[in-house]
Amino acid sequence: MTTSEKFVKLRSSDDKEFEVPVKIVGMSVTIKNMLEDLGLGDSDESPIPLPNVSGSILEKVIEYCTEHQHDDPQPDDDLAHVDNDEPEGFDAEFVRDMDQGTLFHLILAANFLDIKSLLDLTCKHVASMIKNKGPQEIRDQFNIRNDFTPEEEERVQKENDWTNSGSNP
Amino acid sequence: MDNSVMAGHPYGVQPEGNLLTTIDRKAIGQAQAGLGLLALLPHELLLDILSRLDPRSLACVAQTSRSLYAFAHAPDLWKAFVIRACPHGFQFRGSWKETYTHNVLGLAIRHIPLLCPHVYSDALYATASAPFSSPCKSTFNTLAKLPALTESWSPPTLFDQDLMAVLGETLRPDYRWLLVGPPGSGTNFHVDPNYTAAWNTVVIGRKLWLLFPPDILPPGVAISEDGCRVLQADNVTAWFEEYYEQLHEDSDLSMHAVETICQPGETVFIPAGWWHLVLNLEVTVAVTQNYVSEANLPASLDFLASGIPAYMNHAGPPDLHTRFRTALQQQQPHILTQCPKRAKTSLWSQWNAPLPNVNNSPEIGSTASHAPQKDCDSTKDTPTPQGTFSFSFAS
Repeated sequence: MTTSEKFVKLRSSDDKEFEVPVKIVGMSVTIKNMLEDLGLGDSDESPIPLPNVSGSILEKVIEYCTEHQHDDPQPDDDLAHVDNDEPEGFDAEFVRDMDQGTLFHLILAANFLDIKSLLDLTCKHVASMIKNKGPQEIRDQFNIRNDFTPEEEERVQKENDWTNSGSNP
Repeated sequence: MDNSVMAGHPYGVQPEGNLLTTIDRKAIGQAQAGLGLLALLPHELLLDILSRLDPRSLACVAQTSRSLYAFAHAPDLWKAFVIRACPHGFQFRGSWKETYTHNVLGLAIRHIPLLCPHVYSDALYATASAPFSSPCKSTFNTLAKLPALTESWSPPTLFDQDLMAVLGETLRPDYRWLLVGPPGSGTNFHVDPNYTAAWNTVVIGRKLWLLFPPDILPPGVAISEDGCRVLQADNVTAWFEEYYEQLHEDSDLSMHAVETICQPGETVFIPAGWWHLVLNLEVTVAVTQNYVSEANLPASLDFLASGIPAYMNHAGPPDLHTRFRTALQQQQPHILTQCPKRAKTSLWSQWNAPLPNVNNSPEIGSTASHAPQKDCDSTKDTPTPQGTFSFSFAS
Protein backbone atom coordinates (compact mmCIF):
# COMPACT_ATOMS: atom_id res chain seq x y z
CA MET A 1 0.00 0.00 0.00
CA THR A 2 1.29 3.46 -0.85
CA THR A 3 0.71 6.27 1.59
CA SER A 4 0.67 9.10 -0.92
CA GLU A 5 -2.79 9.39 -2.33
CA LYS A 6 -3.10 9.86 -6.06
CA PHE A 7 -5.43 12.39 -7.59
CA VAL A 8 -7.00 12.89 -10.99
CA LYS A 9 -8.55 16.00 -12.45
CA LEU A 10 -12.02 16.00 -13.93
CA ARG A 11 -13.41 18.78 -16.11
CA SER A 12 -17.17 19.30 -16.32
CA SER A 13 -19.15 20.45 -19.37
CA ASP A 14 -19.08 24.04 -18.05
CA ASP A 15 -15.28 23.92 -17.65
CA LYS A 16 -15.14 23.53 -13.89
CA GLU A 17 -12.22 21.45 -12.68
CA PHE A 18 -12.28 19.04 -9.77
CA GLU A 19 -9.29 17.29 -8.26
CA VAL A 20 -10.45 14.00 -6.84
CA PRO A 21 -8.62 11.09 -5.18
CA VAL A 22 -8.35 8.11 -7.51
CA LYS A 23 -9.98 5.90 -4.91
CA ILE A 24 -13.14 8.02 -5.02
CA VAL A 25 -13.29 8.56 -8.73
CA GLY A 26 -12.68 4.84 -9.21
CA MET A 27 -16.25 4.15 -8.14
CA SER A 28 -17.12 5.19 -11.66
CA VAL A 29 -16.49 2.13 -13.80
CA THR A 30 -16.23 4.38 -16.87
CA ILE A 31 -13.40 6.46 -15.38
CA LYS A 32 -11.75 3.46 -13.74
CA ASN A 33 -11.55 1.67 -17.09
CA MET A 34 -10.30 4.83 -18.76
CA LEU A 35 -7.51 5.25 -16.22
CA GLU A 36 -6.52 1.61 -16.54
CA ASP A 37 -6.52 1.76 -20.33
CA LEU A 38 -4.46 4.93 -20.47
CA GLY A 39 -2.17 4.08 -17.59
CA LEU A 40 -2.59 6.02 -14.38
CA GLY A 41 -0.91 9.41 -14.60
CA ASP A 42 0.07 12.12 -12.11
CA SER A 43 -2.23 14.88 -11.04
CA ASP A 44 -0.46 17.48 -13.15
CA GLU A 45 -1.61 15.77 -16.32
CA SER A 46 -4.46 17.25 -18.28
CA PRO A 47 -7.94 16.79 -16.82
CA ILE A 48 -10.41 14.17 -18.01
CA PRO A 49 -13.18 15.96 -19.89
CA LEU A 50 -16.75 14.95 -19.01
CA PRO A 51 -18.69 16.86 -21.69
CA ASN A 52 -22.11 15.61 -20.62
CA VAL A 53 -21.87 16.23 -16.88
CA SER A 54 -22.23 19.79 -15.54
CA GLY A 55 -20.20 21.13 -12.62
CA SER A 56 -23.12 21.20 -10.19
CA ILE A 57 -24.04 17.60 -10.99
CA LEU A 58 -20.40 16.44 -10.85
CA GLU A 59 -20.17 18.04 -7.41
CA LYS A 60 -23.13 15.89 -6.30
CA VAL A 61 -21.55 12.77 -7.79
CA ILE A 62 -18.29 13.45 -5.92
CA GLU A 63 -20.20 14.08 -2.68
CA TYR A 64 -21.93 10.71 -3.09
CA CYS A 65 -18.74 8.83 -3.98
CA THR A 66 -16.81 10.41 -1.10
CA GLU A 67 -19.42 9.16 1.35
CA HIS A 68 -19.43 5.68 -0.17
CA GLN A 69 -15.71 5.22 -0.91
CA HIS A 70 -15.32 2.56 1.79
CA ASP A 71 -18.31 0.47 0.69
CA ASP A 72 -17.80 -3.09 -0.43
CA PRO A 73 -18.18 -3.36 -4.16
CA GLN A 74 -21.77 -4.23 -5.00
CA PRO A 75 -22.34 -7.80 -6.05
CA ASP A 76 -22.88 -7.91 -9.77
CA ASP A 77 -26.14 -9.69 -9.33
CA ASP A 78 -29.41 -8.77 -10.95
CA LEU A 79 -31.37 -10.01 -7.96
CA ALA A 80 -29.72 -7.43 -5.75
CA HIS A 81 -31.20 -4.81 -8.01
CA VAL A 82 -34.80 -5.80 -7.26
CA ASP A 83 -34.54 -4.88 -3.60
CA ASN A 84 -36.87 -2.04 -2.83
CA ASP A 85 -35.62 -1.16 0.62
CA GLU A 86 -36.07 2.43 1.59
CA PRO A 87 -32.76 4.30 1.53
CA GLU A 88 -31.43 5.24 4.96
CA GLY A 89 -29.00 7.68 6.50
CA PHE A 90 -26.86 9.63 4.06
CA ASP A 91 -28.64 8.16 1.02
CA ALA A 92 -32.08 9.19 2.25
CA GLU A 93 -30.82 12.71 3.01
CA PHE A 94 -29.00 12.89 -0.32
CA VAL A 95 -32.10 12.46 -2.49
CA ARG A 96 -34.65 14.05 -0.15
CA ASP A 97 -35.87 17.44 -1.38
CA MET A 98 -33.68 17.21 -4.45
CA ASP A 99 -35.32 19.10 -7.30
CA GLN A 100 -36.37 16.99 -10.26
CA GLY A 101 -33.96 18.61 -12.71
CA THR A 102 -31.00 17.71 -10.49
CA LEU A 103 -32.37 14.23 -9.88
CA PHE A 104 -32.80 13.42 -13.57
CA HIS A 105 -29.40 14.80 -14.52
CA LEU A 106 -27.86 12.84 -11.68
CA ILE A 107 -29.45 9.69 -13.13
CA LEU A 108 -27.94 10.47 -16.53
CA ALA A 109 -24.54 11.13 -14.95
CA ALA A 110 -24.66 7.90 -12.89
CA ASN A 111 -25.61 6.02 -16.05
CA PHE A 112 -22.80 7.56 -18.11
CA LEU A 113 -20.18 7.24 -15.39
CA ASP A 114 -21.44 3.74 -14.59
CA ILE A 115 -21.83 4.10 -10.83
CA LYS A 116 -24.26 1.30 -10.13
CA SER A 117 -25.20 2.14 -6.54
CA LEU A 118 -25.91 5.79 -7.36
CA LEU A 119 -27.99 4.81 -10.39
CA ASP A 120 -29.88 2.39 -8.20
CA LEU A 121 -30.53 5.01 -5.52
CA THR A 122 -31.74 7.66 -7.96
CA CYS A 123 -33.93 5.31 -10.04
CA LYS A 124 -35.45 3.97 -6.84
CA HIS A 125 -36.22 7.52 -5.78
CA VAL A 126 -38.05 8.28 -9.05
CA ALA A 127 -40.05 5.07 -8.59
CA SER A 128 -40.98 6.19 -5.07
CA MET A 129 -42.29 9.46 -6.56
CA ILE A 130 -44.70 7.41 -8.72
CA LYS A 131 -45.83 4.83 -6.17
CA ASN A 132 -49.30 5.06 -4.64
CA LYS A 133 -50.34 7.95 -6.84
CA GLY A 134 -53.32 8.19 -9.18
CA PRO A 135 -52.93 8.95 -12.90
CA GLN A 136 -53.56 12.71 -12.54
CA GLU A 137 -51.09 13.01 -9.66
CA ILE A 138 -48.45 11.26 -11.76
CA ARG A 139 -49.11 13.65 -14.66
CA ASP A 140 -48.73 16.64 -12.34
CA GLN A 141 -45.56 15.23 -10.81
CA PHE A 142 -43.69 14.88 -14.10
CA ASN A 143 -45.46 17.44 -16.28
CA ILE A 144 -46.97 14.75 -18.50
CA ARG A 145 -49.50 15.82 -21.10
CA ASN A 146 -52.59 13.64 -21.38
CA ASP A 147 -52.92 12.96 -25.11
CA PHE A 148 -55.59 10.24 -25.00
CA THR A 149 -58.83 11.00 -26.82
CA PRO A 150 -61.82 10.95 -24.41
CA GLU A 151 -62.87 7.55 -25.81
CA GLU A 152 -59.38 6.11 -25.38
CA GLU A 153 -59.11 7.45 -21.86
CA GLU A 154 -62.42 5.89 -20.92
CA ARG A 155 -61.35 2.56 -22.35
CA VAL A 156 -58.02 2.59 -20.54
CA GLN A 157 -59.63 3.64 -17.25
CA LYS A 158 -62.23 0.91 -17.54
CA GLU A 159 -59.58 -1.75 -18.14
CA ASN A 160 -57.66 -0.56 -15.08
CA ASP A 161 -60.67 0.01 -12.86
CA TRP A 162 -59.21 -2.42 -10.33
CA THR A 163 -56.56 0.16 -9.39
CA ASN A 164 -59.30 2.16 -7.63
CA SER A 165 -60.41 -0.64 -5.32
CA GLY A 166 -59.36 -0.63 -1.66
CA SER A 167 -56.51 -3.07 -1.22
CA ASN A 168 -53.32 -3.08 -3.21
CA PRO A 169 -52.91 -6.58 -4.63
CA MET B 1 -50.99 0.71 -46.70
CA ASP B 2 -50.49 2.95 -43.73
CA ASN B 3 -46.88 2.25 -42.96
CA SER B 4 -46.86 4.45 -39.88
CA VAL B 5 -48.08 1.45 -37.91
CA MET B 6 -45.76 -1.52 -37.86
CA ALA B 7 -47.52 -4.82 -37.92
CA GLY B 8 -44.77 -6.14 -35.68
CA HIS B 9 -45.64 -4.41 -32.43
CA PRO B 10 -48.92 -4.93 -30.60
CA TYR B 11 -49.03 -1.28 -29.50
CA GLY B 12 -47.77 0.11 -32.80
CA VAL B 13 -44.43 1.18 -31.32
CA GLN B 14 -41.82 1.81 -34.01
CA PRO B 15 -38.06 1.37 -34.02
CA GLU B 16 -36.18 4.64 -33.52
CA GLY B 17 -34.63 4.47 -36.98
CA ASN B 18 -38.08 5.20 -38.43
CA LEU B 19 -37.81 8.72 -37.00
CA LEU B 20 -35.49 9.56 -39.90
CA THR B 21 -38.28 9.10 -42.42
CA THR B 22 -41.14 10.46 -40.37
CA ILE B 23 -42.72 13.64 -41.70
CA ASP B 24 -45.18 14.23 -38.89
CA ARG B 25 -42.87 16.15 -36.53
CA LYS B 26 -45.83 17.49 -34.55
CA ALA B 27 -46.92 14.01 -33.57
CA ILE B 28 -43.40 13.23 -32.39
CA GLY B 29 -43.48 16.32 -30.18
CA GLN B 30 -46.76 15.11 -28.73
CA ALA B 31 -45.28 11.75 -27.89
CA GLN B 32 -42.42 13.55 -26.07
CA ALA B 33 -44.90 15.70 -24.13
CA GLY B 34 -46.66 12.48 -23.15
CA LEU B 35 -43.49 11.49 -21.30
CA GLY B 36 -43.05 14.88 -19.64
CA LEU B 37 -39.80 15.13 -17.67
CA LEU B 38 -39.32 11.39 -18.07
CA ALA B 39 -38.41 12.09 -21.72
CA LEU B 40 -34.97 13.09 -20.39
CA LEU B 41 -34.16 9.47 -19.60
CA PRO B 42 -32.92 6.78 -21.96
CA HIS B 43 -35.76 4.32 -22.50
CA GLU B 44 -33.87 1.48 -20.84
CA LEU B 45 -33.68 3.53 -17.63
CA LEU B 46 -37.36 4.45 -17.84
CA LEU B 47 -38.17 0.73 -18.06
CA ASP B 48 -35.80 0.11 -15.14
CA ILE B 49 -37.73 2.63 -13.04
CA LEU B 50 -41.09 1.14 -14.03
CA SER B 51 -39.80 -2.33 -13.08
CA ARG B 52 -39.51 -1.10 -9.47
CA LEU B 53 -43.22 -0.33 -9.21
CA ASP B 54 -46.02 -2.46 -7.82
CA PRO B 55 -48.73 -3.63 -10.27
CA ARG B 56 -51.25 -1.03 -9.21
CA SER B 57 -48.85 1.92 -9.57
CA LEU B 58 -47.78 0.60 -12.96
CA ALA B 59 -51.41 0.39 -14.08
CA CYS B 60 -51.84 4.03 -12.99
CA VAL B 61 -48.81 5.05 -15.08
CA ALA B 62 -50.49 3.33 -18.06
CA GLN B 63 -53.46 5.70 -17.70
CA THR B 64 -51.49 8.94 -17.90
CA SER B 65 -50.68 9.28 -21.64
CA ARG B 66 -50.31 7.24 -24.82
CA SER B 67 -46.52 7.11 -24.56
CA LEU B 68 -46.54 5.93 -20.98
CA TYR B 69 -49.34 3.50 -21.85
CA ALA B 70 -46.94 1.86 -24.31
CA PHE B 71 -44.07 1.81 -21.78
CA ALA B 72 -46.21 0.54 -18.91
CA HIS B 73 -47.29 -2.41 -21.03
CA ALA B 74 -43.79 -3.66 -21.76
CA PRO B 75 -44.35 -7.41 -21.49
CA ASP B 76 -41.38 -8.10 -19.21
CA LEU B 77 -42.84 -5.87 -16.49
CA TRP B 78 -46.09 -7.83 -16.22
CA LYS B 79 -44.33 -11.13 -16.81
CA ALA B 80 -42.24 -10.48 -13.67
CA PHE B 81 -45.40 -9.84 -11.60
CA VAL B 82 -46.99 -13.06 -12.88
CA ILE B 83 -43.94 -15.18 -12.17
CA ARG B 84 -43.59 -13.75 -8.68
CA ALA B 85 -47.29 -14.21 -7.83
CA CYS B 86 -47.86 -17.61 -9.45
CA PRO B 87 -44.98 -19.93 -8.54
CA HIS B 88 -47.15 -22.97 -9.22
CA GLY B 89 -48.19 -22.13 -12.75
CA PHE B 90 -50.66 -19.92 -14.57
CA GLN B 91 -52.73 -19.74 -17.71
CA PHE B 92 -51.23 -17.49 -20.39
CA ARG B 93 -53.89 -15.11 -21.77
CA GLY B 94 -52.36 -13.66 -24.95
CA SER B 95 -50.60 -10.78 -23.18
CA TRP B 96 -48.75 -10.62 -19.87
CA LYS B 97 -51.00 -7.81 -18.67
CA GLU B 98 -54.13 -9.92 -19.10
CA THR B 99 -52.34 -12.97 -17.75
CA TYR B 100 -51.76 -10.92 -14.59
CA THR B 101 -55.33 -9.63 -14.16
CA HIS B 102 -56.76 -13.07 -14.96
CA ASN B 103 -54.50 -15.26 -12.82
CA VAL B 104 -53.60 -12.97 -9.94
CA LEU B 105 -56.62 -10.69 -9.56
CA GLY B 106 -59.13 -13.23 -10.86
CA LEU B 107 -60.72 -10.57 -13.08
CA ALA B 108 -62.20 -11.23 -16.51
CA ILE B 109 -60.93 -8.12 -18.28
CA ARG B 110 -59.88 -8.34 -21.92
CA HIS B 111 -56.69 -6.44 -22.63
CA ILE B 112 -57.08 -4.99 -26.11
CA PRO B 113 -53.93 -3.06 -27.02
CA LEU B 114 -54.43 0.57 -27.90
CA LEU B 115 -52.30 1.66 -30.84
CA CYS B 116 -49.68 4.29 -30.05
CA PRO B 117 -48.19 4.86 -33.50
CA HIS B 118 -46.04 7.84 -32.58
CA VAL B 119 -43.97 6.15 -29.95
CA TYR B 120 -40.46 5.43 -31.23
CA SER B 121 -38.42 3.18 -29.01
CA ASP B 122 -35.90 0.46 -29.76
CA ALA B 123 -36.07 -0.68 -26.15
CA LEU B 124 -39.82 -1.29 -26.42
CA TYR B 125 -39.82 -2.52 -29.99
CA ALA B 126 -37.22 -5.20 -29.34
CA THR B 127 -38.95 -6.86 -26.42
CA ALA B 128 -42.53 -7.08 -27.53
CA SER B 129 -42.52 -9.14 -30.71
CA ALA B 130 -43.10 -12.43 -28.97
CA PRO B 131 -44.51 -13.28 -25.56
CA PHE B 132 -41.54 -15.54 -24.94
CA SER B 133 -38.49 -14.57 -26.91
CA SER B 134 -35.82 -17.04 -25.98
CA PRO B 135 -36.07 -20.73 -25.25
CA CYS B 136 -34.97 -22.33 -22.03
CA LYS B 137 -31.55 -23.80 -22.53
CA SER B 138 -29.87 -26.12 -20.07
CA THR B 139 -26.43 -27.52 -20.39
CA PHE B 140 -26.11 -31.14 -19.53
CA ASN B 141 -23.44 -30.08 -17.05
CA THR B 142 -26.10 -28.39 -14.97
CA LEU B 143 -28.29 -31.46 -15.37
CA ALA B 144 -25.58 -33.81 -14.14
CA LYS B 145 -27.74 -34.71 -11.17
CA LEU B 146 -30.16 -36.37 -13.56
CA PRO B 147 -28.16 -39.31 -14.92
CA ALA B 148 -31.40 -40.83 -16.23
CA LEU B 149 -31.57 -37.93 -18.64
CA THR B 150 -27.92 -37.70 -19.66
CA GLU B 151 -27.59 -41.44 -20.08
CA SER B 152 -30.81 -41.96 -21.98
CA TRP B 153 -29.27 -41.12 -25.34
CA SER B 154 -26.00 -41.25 -27.20
CA PRO B 155 -24.83 -39.31 -30.26
CA PRO B 156 -26.00 -40.63 -33.65
CA THR B 157 -23.30 -42.92 -35.08
CA LEU B 158 -22.42 -40.43 -37.81
CA PHE B 159 -21.34 -37.96 -35.16
CA ASP B 160 -19.60 -40.18 -32.67
CA GLN B 161 -16.17 -38.60 -33.03
CA ASP B 162 -15.78 -35.99 -30.28
CA LEU B 163 -12.14 -34.84 -30.08
CA MET B 164 -12.65 -32.29 -27.31
CA ALA B 165 -13.39 -35.25 -25.03
CA VAL B 166 -9.59 -35.44 -24.57
CA LEU B 167 -9.92 -32.38 -22.32
CA GLY B 168 -12.18 -34.19 -19.85
CA GLU B 169 -15.64 -33.16 -18.68
CA THR B 170 -14.50 -30.44 -16.30
CA LEU B 171 -12.10 -28.64 -18.62
CA ARG B 172 -13.90 -28.77 -21.94
CA PRO B 173 -16.31 -25.98 -22.90
CA ASP B 174 -20.06 -26.72 -22.61
CA TYR B 175 -20.95 -28.94 -25.52
CA ARG B 176 -24.39 -30.49 -25.18
CA TRP B 177 -27.72 -28.99 -24.33
CA LEU B 178 -31.33 -29.83 -23.75
CA LEU B 179 -33.46 -27.18 -25.46
CA VAL B 180 -37.07 -26.51 -24.52
CA GLY B 181 -38.97 -23.63 -26.08
CA PRO B 182 -42.54 -22.48 -26.73
CA PRO B 183 -43.83 -21.57 -30.21
CA GLY B 184 -42.19 -18.40 -31.51
CA SER B 185 -39.06 -18.84 -29.45
CA GLY B 186 -35.73 -19.53 -31.06
CA THR B 187 -32.23 -18.30 -31.65
CA ASN B 188 -31.30 -15.64 -34.19
CA PHE B 189 -28.45 -15.91 -36.69
CA HIS B 190 -25.12 -16.96 -35.27
CA VAL B 191 -22.17 -19.21 -35.94
CA ASP B 192 -21.26 -21.73 -33.27
CA PRO B 193 -18.20 -21.08 -31.11
CA ASN B 194 -14.71 -22.51 -31.65
CA TYR B 195 -15.48 -23.61 -35.21
CA THR B 196 -17.43 -26.54 -33.84
CA ALA B 197 -19.92 -28.44 -35.95
CA ALA B 198 -23.19 -29.56 -34.38
CA TRP B 199 -26.09 -31.89 -34.70
CA ASN B 200 -29.57 -31.21 -33.33
CA THR B 201 -32.33 -33.78 -32.91
CA VAL B 202 -35.95 -32.86 -32.29
CA VAL B 203 -37.66 -35.03 -29.66
CA ILE B 204 -41.03 -33.27 -29.48
CA GLY B 205 -42.39 -30.46 -31.69
CA ARG B 206 -41.02 -28.88 -34.87
CA LYS B 207 -38.10 -26.58 -35.60
CA LEU B 208 -37.66 -24.40 -38.64
CA TRP B 209 -34.01 -24.08 -39.69
CA LEU B 210 -32.33 -21.59 -41.99
CA LEU B 211 -28.65 -22.09 -42.75
CA PHE B 212 -26.18 -20.03 -44.79
CA PRO B 213 -22.63 -20.99 -45.74
CA PRO B 214 -19.82 -19.13 -43.93
CA ASP B 215 -19.13 -16.75 -46.81
CA ILE B 216 -22.72 -15.60 -47.30
CA LEU B 217 -23.96 -13.05 -44.79
CA PRO B 218 -27.67 -13.73 -44.16
CA PRO B 219 -30.11 -10.87 -44.85
CA GLY B 220 -30.71 -8.62 -41.85
CA VAL B 221 -27.31 -9.46 -40.39
CA ALA B 222 -24.25 -7.22 -40.36
CA ILE B 223 -20.82 -7.37 -38.78
CA SER B 224 -19.75 -4.35 -36.72
CA GLU B 225 -16.97 -2.17 -38.12
CA ASP B 226 -14.39 -3.63 -35.76
CA GLY B 227 -15.42 -7.09 -36.95
CA CYS B 228 -16.19 -8.29 -33.43
CA ARG B 229 -19.94 -8.23 -33.18
CA VAL B 230 -22.88 -9.59 -35.13
CA LEU B 231 -25.58 -6.92 -35.54
CA GLN B 232 -29.20 -7.91 -36.07
CA ALA B 233 -32.75 -7.74 -34.70
CA ASP B 234 -32.98 -8.76 -31.05
CA ASN B 235 -35.22 -11.73 -31.52
CA VAL B 236 -35.98 -14.36 -34.07
CA THR B 237 -39.61 -13.43 -34.76
CA ALA B 238 -38.55 -9.85 -35.58
CA TRP B 239 -36.18 -11.33 -38.18
CA PHE B 240 -38.99 -13.28 -39.80
CA GLU B 241 -41.25 -10.24 -39.93
CA GLU B 242 -38.61 -8.12 -41.63
CA TYR B 243 -36.57 -10.43 -43.81
CA TYR B 244 -38.19 -13.79 -44.51
CA GLU B 245 -40.19 -12.61 -47.54
CA GLN B 246 -37.27 -10.59 -48.80
CA LEU B 247 -35.09 -13.68 -48.72
CA HIS B 248 -37.47 -15.61 -50.93
CA GLU B 249 -37.82 -12.74 -53.39
CA ASP B 250 -34.05 -12.63 -53.87
CA SER B 251 -33.10 -15.75 -55.83
CA ASP B 252 -29.34 -14.94 -55.68
CA LEU B 253 -29.54 -15.07 -51.93
CA SER B 254 -32.07 -17.84 -51.45
CA MET B 255 -30.09 -20.24 -53.64
CA HIS B 256 -27.45 -20.31 -50.89
CA ALA B 257 -29.92 -20.77 -48.06
CA VAL B 258 -30.76 -24.19 -46.70
CA GLU B 259 -34.23 -24.17 -45.22
CA THR B 260 -35.88 -27.11 -43.56
CA ILE B 261 -38.40 -28.10 -40.95
CA CYS B 262 -37.26 -30.74 -38.53
CA GLN B 263 -39.84 -33.18 -37.11
CA PRO B 264 -39.54 -35.42 -34.05
CA GLY B 265 -36.80 -38.01 -34.53
CA GLU B 266 -35.12 -36.01 -37.30
CA THR B 267 -31.62 -34.58 -37.03
CA VAL B 268 -30.08 -31.48 -38.57
CA PHE B 269 -26.33 -31.23 -39.16
CA ILE B 270 -24.85 -27.75 -38.82
CA PRO B 271 -21.44 -27.64 -40.53
CA ALA B 272 -18.70 -25.70 -38.73
CA GLY B 273 -18.75 -21.98 -39.47
CA TRP B 274 -22.24 -21.92 -41.00
CA TRP B 275 -24.73 -19.21 -40.07
CA HIS B 276 -27.95 -20.58 -38.69
CA LEU B 277 -31.23 -19.46 -37.26
CA VAL B 278 -33.83 -21.63 -35.54
CA LEU B 279 -37.51 -21.00 -34.85
CA ASN B 280 -39.64 -23.31 -32.72
CA LEU B 281 -42.97 -23.73 -34.49
CA GLU B 282 -44.54 -25.60 -31.59
CA VAL B 283 -43.59 -26.42 -28.04
CA THR B 284 -40.33 -28.10 -28.88
CA VAL B 285 -37.85 -30.26 -27.00
CA ALA B 286 -34.53 -31.02 -28.67
CA VAL B 287 -31.07 -32.27 -27.82
CA THR B 288 -27.99 -30.82 -29.43
CA GLN B 289 -24.26 -31.40 -29.25
CA ASN B 290 -21.34 -29.42 -30.61
CA TYR B 291 -18.22 -31.30 -31.55
CA VAL B 292 -14.83 -31.23 -33.18
CA SER B 293 -14.03 -34.15 -35.48
CA GLU B 294 -11.13 -34.72 -37.85
CA ALA B 295 -13.10 -32.80 -40.48
CA ASN B 296 -13.17 -29.49 -38.63
CA LEU B 297 -10.12 -29.94 -36.37
CA PRO B 298 -7.77 -27.83 -38.55
CA ALA B 299 -10.28 -24.95 -38.72
CA SER B 300 -11.03 -25.20 -35.02
CA LEU B 301 -7.32 -25.14 -34.06
CA ASP B 302 -6.77 -22.19 -36.41
CA PHE B 303 -9.59 -20.29 -34.77
CA LEU B 304 -8.47 -21.07 -31.22
CA ALA B 305 -4.96 -19.85 -32.06
CA SER B 306 -5.86 -16.74 -34.05
CA GLY B 307 -9.29 -15.64 -32.80
CA ILE B 308 -10.33 -15.12 -36.42
CA PRO B 309 -13.08 -14.58 -37.44
CA ALA B 310 -13.48 -12.16 -34.52
CA TYR B 311 -17.28 -12.32 -34.46
CA MET B 312 -17.14 -16.04 -33.70
CA ASN B 313 -17.34 -16.75 -29.98
CA HIS B 314 -14.47 -18.35 -28.15
CA ALA B 315 -15.92 -20.75 -25.57
CA GLY B 316 -13.79 -22.10 -22.75
CA PRO B 317 -10.59 -20.84 -21.08
CA PRO B 318 -8.31 -18.39 -22.96
CA ASP B 319 -5.56 -21.00 -23.25
CA LEU B 320 -7.88 -23.60 -24.74
CA HIS B 321 -5.75 -23.83 -27.87
CA THR B 322 -2.67 -24.99 -25.94
CA ARG B 323 -4.64 -27.27 -23.66
CA PHE B 324 -6.51 -28.89 -26.54
CA ARG B 325 -3.37 -29.41 -28.60
CA THR B 326 -1.44 -30.82 -25.64
CA ALA B 327 -4.23 -33.21 -24.67
CA LEU B 328 -4.55 -34.39 -28.27
CA GLN B 329 -0.78 -34.88 -28.47
CA GLN B 330 -0.90 -37.06 -25.38
CA GLN B 331 -4.01 -39.06 -26.10
CA GLN B 332 -4.51 -39.13 -29.88
CA PRO B 333 -1.16 -38.13 -31.42
CA HIS B 334 -1.94 -39.79 -34.74
CA ILE B 335 -4.82 -37.38 -35.32
CA LEU B 336 -2.57 -34.36 -34.91
CA THR B 337 0.00 -35.92 -37.24
CA GLN B 338 -2.59 -36.47 -39.92
CA CYS B 339 -4.16 -33.09 -39.42
CA PRO B 340 -3.45 -30.76 -42.35
CA LYS B 341 -1.62 -27.64 -41.36
CA ARG B 342 -4.30 -25.37 -42.65
CA ALA B 343 -8.00 -25.68 -42.84
CA LYS B 344 -9.15 -26.50 -46.31
CA THR B 345 -11.66 -24.09 -47.72
CA SER B 346 -13.24 -27.10 -49.32
CA LEU B 347 -14.70 -27.78 -45.91
CA TRP B 348 -17.65 -25.79 -47.11
CA SER B 349 -16.94 -24.79 -50.67
CA GLN B 350 -17.62 -28.32 -51.79
CA TRP B 351 -21.17 -27.80 -50.64
CA ASN B 352 -21.75 -24.72 -52.73
CA ALA B 353 -19.37 -24.88 -55.62
CA PRO B 354 -20.16 -21.65 -57.51
CA LEU B 355 -20.60 -18.72 -55.15
CA PRO B 356 -21.39 -15.62 -57.18
CA ASN B 357 -21.10 -13.34 -54.17
CA VAL B 358 -17.53 -14.36 -53.50
CA ASN B 359 -16.15 -14.15 -57.01
CA ASN B 360 -14.82 -10.68 -56.35
CA SER B 361 -13.19 -11.75 -53.14
CA PRO B 362 -9.74 -13.01 -54.09
CA GLU B 363 -8.99 -14.62 -50.74
CA ILE B 364 -11.01 -17.68 -51.40
CA GLY B 365 -8.87 -18.76 -54.29
CA SER B 366 -5.62 -17.98 -52.54
CA THR B 367 -5.87 -20.94 -50.22
CA ALA B 368 -5.69 -23.32 -53.14
CA SER B 369 -1.97 -22.65 -53.29
CA HIS B 370 -1.46 -23.78 -49.72
CA ALA B 371 -0.65 -27.41 -50.04
CA PRO B 372 -1.87 -29.33 -47.03
CA GLN B 373 1.11 -30.23 -44.86
CA LYS B 374 1.39 -33.25 -42.73
CA ASP B 375 2.72 -31.84 -39.56
CA CYS B 376 0.79 -29.30 -37.59
CA ASP B 377 2.82 -29.22 -34.43
CA SER B 378 4.36 -25.87 -35.08
CA THR B 379 2.11 -23.03 -34.10
CA LYS B 380 4.55 -20.37 -35.26
CA ASP B 381 3.17 -20.35 -38.72
CA THR B 382 -0.28 -19.17 -37.85
CA PRO B 383 -2.49 -19.11 -40.87
CA THR B 384 -3.59 -15.85 -42.38
CA PRO B 385 -7.21 -15.10 -41.75
CA GLN B 386 -7.83 -15.30 -45.45
CA GLY B 387 -6.33 -18.72 -45.51
CA THR B 388 -9.06 -20.19 -43.40
CA PHE B 389 -11.96 -17.98 -44.00
CA SER B 390 -13.18 -15.27 -46.25
CA PHE B 391 -16.11 -13.06 -45.90
CA SER B 392 -18.13 -11.25 -48.46
CA PHE B 393 -19.65 -8.02 -47.29
CA ALA B 394 -22.30 -8.05 -49.95
CA SER B 395 -24.22 -5.15 -48.45
